Amino acid sequence: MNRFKFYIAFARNAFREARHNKVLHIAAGFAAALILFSLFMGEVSMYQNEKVVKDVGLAAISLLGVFVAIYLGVTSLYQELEKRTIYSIVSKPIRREDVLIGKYLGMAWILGVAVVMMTLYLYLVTSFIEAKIDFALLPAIALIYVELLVIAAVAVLFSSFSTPFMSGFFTLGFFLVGRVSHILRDFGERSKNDVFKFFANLVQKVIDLEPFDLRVHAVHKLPIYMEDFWYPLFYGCVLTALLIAGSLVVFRRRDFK
Amino acid sequence: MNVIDVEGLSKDYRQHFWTPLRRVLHNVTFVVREAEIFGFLGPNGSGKSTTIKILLEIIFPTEGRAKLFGKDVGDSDAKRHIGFLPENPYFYDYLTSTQFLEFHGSLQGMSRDQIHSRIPKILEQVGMRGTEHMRLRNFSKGMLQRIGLAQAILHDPKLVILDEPMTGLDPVGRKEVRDLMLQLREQGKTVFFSTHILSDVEMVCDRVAILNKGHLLSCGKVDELIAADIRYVDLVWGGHSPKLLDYLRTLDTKLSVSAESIYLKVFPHAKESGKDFERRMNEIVQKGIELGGAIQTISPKKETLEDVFVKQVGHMESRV
Repeated sequence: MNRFKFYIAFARNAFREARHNKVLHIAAGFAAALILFSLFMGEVSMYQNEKVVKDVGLAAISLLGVFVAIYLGVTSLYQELEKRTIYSIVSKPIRREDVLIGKYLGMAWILGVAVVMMTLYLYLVTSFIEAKIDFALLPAIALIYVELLVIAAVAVLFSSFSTPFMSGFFTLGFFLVGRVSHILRDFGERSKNDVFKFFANLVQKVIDLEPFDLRVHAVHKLPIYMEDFWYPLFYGCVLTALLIAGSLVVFRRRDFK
Repeated sequence: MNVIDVEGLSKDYRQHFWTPLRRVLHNVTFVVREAEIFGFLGPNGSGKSTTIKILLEIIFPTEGRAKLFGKDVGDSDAKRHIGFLPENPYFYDYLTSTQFLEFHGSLQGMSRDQIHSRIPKILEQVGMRGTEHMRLRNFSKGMLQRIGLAQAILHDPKLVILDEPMTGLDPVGRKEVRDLMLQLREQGKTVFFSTHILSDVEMVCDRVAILNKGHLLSCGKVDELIAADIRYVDLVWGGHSPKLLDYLRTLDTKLSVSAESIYLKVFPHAKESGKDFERRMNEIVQKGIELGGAIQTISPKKETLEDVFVKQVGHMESRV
């Protein structure tokens, strides 16, 4: 069977499911309210109105995205197993790997739509304070999306063998460690303990989400060099591929009880 | 060629990673032939669903092997010819009937045109015409079962596997499912279904397998499993001839007399062959008529599948 056709069927189904998910509606509403509220925060800042709105807007997109990535990543596969919808899917002439990839692509689609919608909304809100579209935000938003794909892949990996609560806990841990791993590395550099130094360096090399954050560059119009964009893009793709490959290994031989 | 070929299938489960392994399926062997309705019979927890899950590669066997259409389970070509309805199906409730069937049809590799030409026919077949645009969340349990059946036969499979298909259906719904099974068999399809409702099995199955606590107790044609021997014969005589009554009282039978009839229950003796019992019955009837009796009814009572099931499962319980 044409796998691409199957992926489309799965992605479309995942999107339909997300459209009816109240948790996602509430999260999107919260992020939208936060961006709107940034207009008032900007008012009380000193001539930084538009920067505050963009900064808060990008943070809201990232926060909403992380929430959606973790939520979908840990629940969507689990629900297929818990509600046993996986039974009638696995009985079809489809490889198990394709089920997992299909689910992941569905998540990627939903995350993409969420990011695009929030971006359009951010531009709408910024249009109240400046009469031009700031394209400098786009690289930062693109990397937010790549980071979300990595987080979703982490969530899928954990959910392929764990409960939603534990998967959510581990994925959140991954995200937080990834965001501060460069600080950990700096601590390690200054430490006299070789074991800690090695460990801190290793963590930073493996889990480093800091390069995905171009918010400061985008908001303050700092130059964004090619490697600032391509390195995290490449790193994100490799990490995602490794995480999904790990999930496939678990998923391929798992009993769906 | 056998449609399903199961040989020495065993399955061990572990509830949690710290609990010991527990064997839930023990060396199960059976075959299902083409164009037959095969009933997989057993009480709850007997291993029926476990076997079905292995056949569909939802779980993997610990030992043994299973083949579908001569190919190992999991083979995509074999799966293409299978339709499956899981037990207590839960489907995506935000979908409408049409969207749901479109989704399952596309997973089967059907083209959009094929799906849309089949949907009205299939919905008609399962009695769900008119629900095309209804969301599954508004369906009753019976309707969900029917739409589940619809997705199982949408792609016109050669083998239909149904896990407890009668669950949640009212008597009319159960009859419709039985009729559907018979219809599928007429079309040359093979139907493999699990159930613990014995009357359904007796009504439609060509062959059955009885499973309990993971052990296959017996497998064969329904009329082979049900002993051909008569368990007892109910004989009702009209009229009250004293000679007849005296004669019947001399027999080793259960006798009850009412105002208008004499009821006689004749059991075969231990070690009495079927033919000997038949001969003895003929003698009783002949002699009774000679003594002025008139027969109202003779009804030989044979063993039912329920008797076989209770006997086998009960025997197993006592061994365990």
